[in-house]
Amino acid sequence: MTRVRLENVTKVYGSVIAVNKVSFEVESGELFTLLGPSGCGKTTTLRIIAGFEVPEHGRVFFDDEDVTYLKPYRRNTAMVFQNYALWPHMTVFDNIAYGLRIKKKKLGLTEEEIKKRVKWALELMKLDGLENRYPLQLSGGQQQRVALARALVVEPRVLLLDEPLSNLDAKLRIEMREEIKKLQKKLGITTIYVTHDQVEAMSISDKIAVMNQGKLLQYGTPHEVYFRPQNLFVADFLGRSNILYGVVSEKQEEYVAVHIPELDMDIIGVPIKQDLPKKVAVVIRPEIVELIDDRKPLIHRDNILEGRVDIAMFQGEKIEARVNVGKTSLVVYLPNTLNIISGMNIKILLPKKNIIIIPTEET
Amino acid sequence: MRRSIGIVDVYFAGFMIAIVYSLLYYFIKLSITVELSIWFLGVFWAIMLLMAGFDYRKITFSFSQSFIAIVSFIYIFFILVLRISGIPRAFALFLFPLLVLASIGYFRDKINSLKQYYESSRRVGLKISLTRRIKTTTYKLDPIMWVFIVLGLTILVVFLITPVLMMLYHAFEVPEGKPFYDNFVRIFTARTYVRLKLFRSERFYDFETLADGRKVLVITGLNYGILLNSLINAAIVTSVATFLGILVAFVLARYDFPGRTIIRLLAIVPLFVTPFINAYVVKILFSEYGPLSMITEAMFGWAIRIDSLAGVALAQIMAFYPIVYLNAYSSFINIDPSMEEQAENLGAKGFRLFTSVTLPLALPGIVAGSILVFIFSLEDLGAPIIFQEKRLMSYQIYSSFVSETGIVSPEIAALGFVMLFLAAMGFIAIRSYVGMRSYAMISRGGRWTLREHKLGWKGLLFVYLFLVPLIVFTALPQIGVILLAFNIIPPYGFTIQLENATASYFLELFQNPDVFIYIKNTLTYALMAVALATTIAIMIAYSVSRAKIRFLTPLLDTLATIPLAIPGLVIALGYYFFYSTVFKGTPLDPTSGPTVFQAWIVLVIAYSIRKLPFVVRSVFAGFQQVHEALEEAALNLGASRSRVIFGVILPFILTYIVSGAVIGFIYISTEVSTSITIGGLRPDQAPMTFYMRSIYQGGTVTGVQVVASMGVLLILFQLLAIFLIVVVFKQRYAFIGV
Repeated sequence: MTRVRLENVTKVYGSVIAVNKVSFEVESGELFTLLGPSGCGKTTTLRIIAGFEVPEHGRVFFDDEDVTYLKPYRRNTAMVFQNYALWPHMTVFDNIAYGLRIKKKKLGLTEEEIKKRVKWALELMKLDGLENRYPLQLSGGQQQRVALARALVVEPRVLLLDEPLSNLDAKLRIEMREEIKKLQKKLGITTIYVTHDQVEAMSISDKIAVMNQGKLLQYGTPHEVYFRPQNLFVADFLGRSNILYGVVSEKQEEYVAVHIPELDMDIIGVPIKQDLPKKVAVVIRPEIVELIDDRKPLIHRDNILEGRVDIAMFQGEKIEARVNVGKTSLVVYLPNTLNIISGMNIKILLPKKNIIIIPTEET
Repeated sequence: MRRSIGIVDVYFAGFMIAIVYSLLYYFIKLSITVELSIWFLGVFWAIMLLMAGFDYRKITFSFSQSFIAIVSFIYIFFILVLRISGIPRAFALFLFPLLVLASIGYFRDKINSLKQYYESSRRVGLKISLTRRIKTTTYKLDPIMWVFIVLGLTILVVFLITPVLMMLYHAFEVPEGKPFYDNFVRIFTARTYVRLKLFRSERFYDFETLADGRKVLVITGLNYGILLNSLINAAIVTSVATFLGILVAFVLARYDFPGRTIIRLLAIVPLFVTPFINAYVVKILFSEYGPLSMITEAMFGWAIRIDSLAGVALAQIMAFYPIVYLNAYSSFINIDPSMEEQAENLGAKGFRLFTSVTLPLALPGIVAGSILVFIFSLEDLGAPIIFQEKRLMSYQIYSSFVSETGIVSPEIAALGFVMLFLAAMGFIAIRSYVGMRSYAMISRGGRWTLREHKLGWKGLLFVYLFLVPLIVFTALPQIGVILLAFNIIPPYGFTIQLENATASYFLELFQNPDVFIYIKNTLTYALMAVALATTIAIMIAYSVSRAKIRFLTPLLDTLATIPLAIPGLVIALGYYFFYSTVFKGTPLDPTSGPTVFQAWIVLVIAYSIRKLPFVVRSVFAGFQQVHEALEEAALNLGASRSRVIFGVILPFILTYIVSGAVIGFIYISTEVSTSITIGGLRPDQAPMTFYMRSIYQGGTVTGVQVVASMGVLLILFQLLAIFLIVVVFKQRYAFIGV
């Protein structure tokens, strides 16, 4: 198994920095995701790892071997392209066998063994019986499986997946992402996955790296990145957030009170680091908000807001409501069992342990 | 950026002119010569305009930028350096500020963009070390890519650029004691080249009485000298061909009437290349023996003959207008119907709709077609040779090869340069204009139902009384070739004699060794040249579509398309000078005599370079079909670059390559310019087109049928090619110039 390490990797196109001093390490057997909006440099980073691009600065290591200038065909990575890149003039079998046939001599394979391994890949991807079809005769999901089989059959050091699910319909996408995750764990193969879909990224990954404008902003487990976003972009990009700006008014041991002018009150939350600057932002995830029932006694006294429901949307598993509080409004998710309608006045509580406070200056 | 001219601009221009004139007055008072002060003021005016933010390059279509600048530059070069006085010189002085403006503006733009580039890379805050830069570039280029680029470039530079430069060099070869530009002075001033004052006795048409007492109206056209004749001829041919092309294309694209499919097929018949013989049929059609004379004789009592310059123009219009037609037709077809529907929805209709929406959208395609007609008309040899019209540039260049000495004079090289210049101007205009071509197809997404209307009775009358006869008429040369080949019509006159029909002339093609040798030569050369051209085309097309190296790949791209713009005669001249200088004393030297000179080698190379663009275009389209990811997937699985190219990509685009090769084969086997010039220097190694030419050169009519059957053979080749490409390979057959 292979560790992948990037050190200060920078890629410049003319006057545009596609990738800006990106460093990270992928442990062997890990599923690592590069997440970010389109144009953030995640695909370029992946292509640098595959060897289709070379960085102007920095180095790429597989284990401790410097592969920065190693040709793509010597890296033994296997990439699954966004459009699958299946050769339309070859059958499914030939497509999958291609990599093995190329390396036939090097690996000392016989045609018999190639057949066996392709069969293994076909079974693995549940493609039995389709080996003599041509790619254009397959459905999108099947093409996706062929592309994966073609990548896996060569037993690559690193598996690279470039938005592999973006061409599938919503339902199939969810099925496939489960399958990819299972497969990856089963084979224990180091995998780097590129996507712009945060739900996909969080559900599939061991680690996530969030990128924006060529920079790697944060990387960690999905849990860390979601609950302890290091900056506003990450907070905003992963999940939904209400972001309120304010000034630190009081510091307690583990909590900080922030004065929010728009609400004309203090919100108490957990800072992401100790030495906060004066100007900060408060991140409130919509699902942490609790509705206060007036008939029950209050346990907390902090972070209680009163407001009017501007609009309430029943979404099946939850109710999404926009609540007008002071000079601003917050998006909140409320349990679907409640009867919330537009125009209602409600009281909400923002549990302070789930509120994140982030410095603002950097952006 | 596009600006329109407002009233402020007019005031400003007036103010500027006033300043210039006041300064001029002042300078003259200071006893500086008028000329010097005009030069000075030209620069001053240009700089002032530029500082005021005016840049005429950006007012109109973007193609004018480079176009006007280059025209002014070359014009000024010719007029001022060659010390020509009078109105041309005054015009040159007028253009001068524009040139200064354009060049300063151009350099300012360049400097600005460089500045921007450095500023942004400084903002990036990265210093990329040179070794890293080189490493990045070399990493991207596999050895095979290098081979492709370097070999492709070398071949084009050696066999395309060098010969043309060689011709340029010889154009400035002058007798001792004369200024270096002497040849050009002659071309622009000598009365054989430019004669603006005609004799009173010269008339556009005249009546003649034949030996048998018949009266004939002979239309000859007027002789304004070689240079002007060529230009006037090209201008007339281009404008008439454009008008006819648009008319026919519009009617066929937008209106439905009985018989349209047949008419549509007939309309492309003139594009079947049958060198010389089709012009010969035109000559017969418009001679005193032709069908038109029968009508006029019956009606007015005199026959009609269209000859000389008028004949050349007529033959060229008939042969070339389908180029405009096909370009215009595809442009009209490609216009999204919703564009026109939107205009109709807003109240436009009829001619207004056509001029405001349809024509502007189709214009890029039409312009591309017309400019090609201009170039073709300029370099055409078929019609001038058949009509024995020596007072044209193309004939002059050609005849220098068939002179007794077989030595081409520097004056001819200068003439070649002028021809190249004219053609290149047209080409530059297309290149920058066709860049806008894509806008004819703004909305994509499936096929749309074409807008088609039924014709009213007026329209039907127009179509059946004018358009259909016109199209049938323009197809007559090719039909005549077939009739001649089977001896259904005699070499002179226009009587259908079915009882004389015979296929014996076809047998002669293959049985008479003196004739068959030419067919064999053509086939051998064409096969060799196609193999060569396809190899070069694959290298170039692959490099251009995959390697993105600044300067180098665009250069390769341009070099590979440029042979389209270089008249064949210029290539012939270039090759003549190239081989007689570089290979002096070897069998490759064209001046080494008709027994030593190995014309076939020179011809094969010339063919493959001349017709390269057709092959490159097809192969390139193939590479564009292959998404780069398909290639990367193979690289990623461990295949080396050469393995990817030869194992994955080439088999995949084989149909494109074969189509390109087939098209190349057709245009090579019908090539005229180099075949009858370079080939003519070694007659026993010459190809078919040389034989066809030599029959007419004799002035007798013997052998016309044999040549016609050669023409039919070529038509068969072309039909076979169309079948192969369209039916078997499912590709588009590119008619010449389309």
